[in-house]
Amino acid sequence: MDIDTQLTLKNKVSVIGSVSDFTYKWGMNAGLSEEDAVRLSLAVDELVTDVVLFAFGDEEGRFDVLYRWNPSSVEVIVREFGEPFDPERHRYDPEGALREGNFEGAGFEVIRHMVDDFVFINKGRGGKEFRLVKKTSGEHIADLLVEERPPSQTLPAPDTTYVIEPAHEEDAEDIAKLIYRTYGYTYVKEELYFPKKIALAFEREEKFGVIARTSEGEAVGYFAVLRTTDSRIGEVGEAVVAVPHRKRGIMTRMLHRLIEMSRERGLLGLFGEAVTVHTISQKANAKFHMQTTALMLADFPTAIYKGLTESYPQDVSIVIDFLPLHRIETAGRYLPPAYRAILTDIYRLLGITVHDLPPETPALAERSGIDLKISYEYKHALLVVNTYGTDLTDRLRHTLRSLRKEDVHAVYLDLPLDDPVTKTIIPDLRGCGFVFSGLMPLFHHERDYLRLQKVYVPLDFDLIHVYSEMAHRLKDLIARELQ
Amino acid sequence: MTYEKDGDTLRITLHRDFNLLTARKVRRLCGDVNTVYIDLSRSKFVDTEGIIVLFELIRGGKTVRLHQPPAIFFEVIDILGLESVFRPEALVA
Repeated sequence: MDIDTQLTLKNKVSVIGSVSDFTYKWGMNAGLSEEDAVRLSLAVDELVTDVVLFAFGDEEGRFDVLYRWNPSSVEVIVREFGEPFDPERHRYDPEGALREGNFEGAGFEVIRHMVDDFVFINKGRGGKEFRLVKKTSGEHIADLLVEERPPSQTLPAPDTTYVIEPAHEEDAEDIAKLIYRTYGYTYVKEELYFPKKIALAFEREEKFGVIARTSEGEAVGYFAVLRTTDSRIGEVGEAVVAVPHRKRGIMTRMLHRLIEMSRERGLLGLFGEAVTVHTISQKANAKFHMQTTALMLADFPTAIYKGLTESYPQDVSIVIDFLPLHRIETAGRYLPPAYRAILTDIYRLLGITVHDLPPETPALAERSGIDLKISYEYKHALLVVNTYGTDLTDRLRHTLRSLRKEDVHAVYLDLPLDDPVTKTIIPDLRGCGFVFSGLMPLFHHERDYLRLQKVYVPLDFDLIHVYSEMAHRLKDLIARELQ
Repeated sequence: MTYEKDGDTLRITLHRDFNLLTARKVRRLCGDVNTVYIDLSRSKFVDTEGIIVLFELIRGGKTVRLHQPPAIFFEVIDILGLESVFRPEALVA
C-alpha cells in the first residue's frame, strides 16, 4: 500500500474541519460506504483535534496526515514531532465524565470504536505516529452467485481457442466468479471475492491485468500485475486458470502479454512472492525465468492461507523471485562484508555484475528518513530506510517496541545499497536482532535494497520448502544467523 | 453557522460538523439563554468537543433540543456511556 495523499498542516483549530471533510471525501473515493467514511472522518477529527490542542503546547507546529489505500482497507497516518504522549495513559472513564465532567481520553475512546485498527507508534526522537485503519466492505461474489448454476467441469474441445485481452473494471465480476469457482474460499487474496474491490483497483490503476476468454466469451483465466511498491516494478500477484482449461498454455500466454504490458508502462521489473509451504509456485516462477533474491520468514500467519495449509503449524515464509525487464550490465553498490558474496551472486543471477564500492564515512543528518508500513492482517511490518541519520538505532528500538505491542510476528528492514552507511551498519542491526533476508531489486524509488528481518515467532526450518539453488543458500545462511 | 436569539432562546443552524471550532462558538453564544435549539441536519457528526459543550449546557440547567442529529450521534453517546444525560426523547426536536 503506497501513500496516496499527504497533507502537511499547521496546529491551528481551523484545519480540523478541512481535514475531516477531506477524509470523508477521500474515504468515499477509496471505496468506503458513506457510513464508514463518516466513521473514519470522525476518527480523524478526534485525532487531529488532539494533536492541535495538545501535541505542541503553546508552540506553533506542523504535522502530517498521510492516506494509504489498498483494495481491502484504507489507512490514515497522523505523524507529528510534538511532546511525548502515550494514549494508553489517557483512558476514558465514563463515571468520571458523568460525575465531574472529566472527558479526558474520550476522543481516543471514540476513535477505537470508529476504526478497525488504531495503532500508536512511538518512534523516539523520530516523533509519534497514530494509524487508523478502516476495512472496505463490498458484496461477496458468493452472494451474487446464489441463483446461478455451477459451470460445467467437462473438458473443453481440443480445438477450443482463447482470446487474451487486457482486463478492465467491467471484468471485475467475471474475475471474482472465476476465482470463486476455481478456488472456492481458499484463495489467499480475499479482495478477489469482491467485484467492487477489483473494479476499484483497476480504476485506481493499482493493478493491470489480462483476462482469457473462450470464443464464447467465458472467462477462464486471469493474471494481474499489482503496483504494490513505491517503485516502478510490479508484483505478479493474482493468477488463475479454470481447472478444465489448464495445460493449454493459457498461463504462459497471459504472462507474456503481461510482460509486454509491463514494458509499455515503463516497469523495470516484476516480482513474485511464492509460499514455501510447497514449491509449486516457486517452480512456476522459475519456469518464467524469475530469479530468487530473498527469503522472508513468517510473512503471514497460516490462518490466512486457506489452501493447502490447514495443518501447517507455523507462519508462512515466502520466497521473492524477480524478473528484470530493463537490462543493466554493471552497477556499483555498497555491499556489507558479511553479505558481499551472496549479494554478488544474486546480482549475477539477475545478469548484473556488481562492483563493491569502497567504504565512506558520510556526515549524517540528525533524523533518519524511515517509512513504516504495517500489514495488520499479515501481522508483519516493513521499515524502509531511505536516508540514514544519527537516530537510526534509537528509532528502530522504539519502533520495534511499539510494534511488539501490536503483535507483529515479523519486521523487515530495507536498507539502500547505494548508501555507504549500509556497508557498515550491519553489526549494529544484528545487535538489534536482525538477520539476513536478501536483495530487493529496485524495490523503493527505483533503488536496490538489502532486506534484513527480525522474527518473533518460532519457526521449524525443515517446514520451509524452497526450490531454487539460491533459495536453499538463503535458507542456510539465515538459519545459521538465527542460531 | 447561523443563529438567532429570541428572548432567552437561541436557535443555531450548523452548516458543517459540530467540532472544536463550532463548539467554542456555541459555548460563547449560550451564556445568557435558557433554551438552545441546534439544527444538525447538515452535520455528518458531533465530535467529543461538541458533546462536551452539550453536556455542559444540559448539566448547567439549559434546555437543549437537537434537530435531525446525525445517525452516529447516539452511537457516540453510547460509546461514552452518557445515555443518562443525552436521552433521545428529551433531546430530539
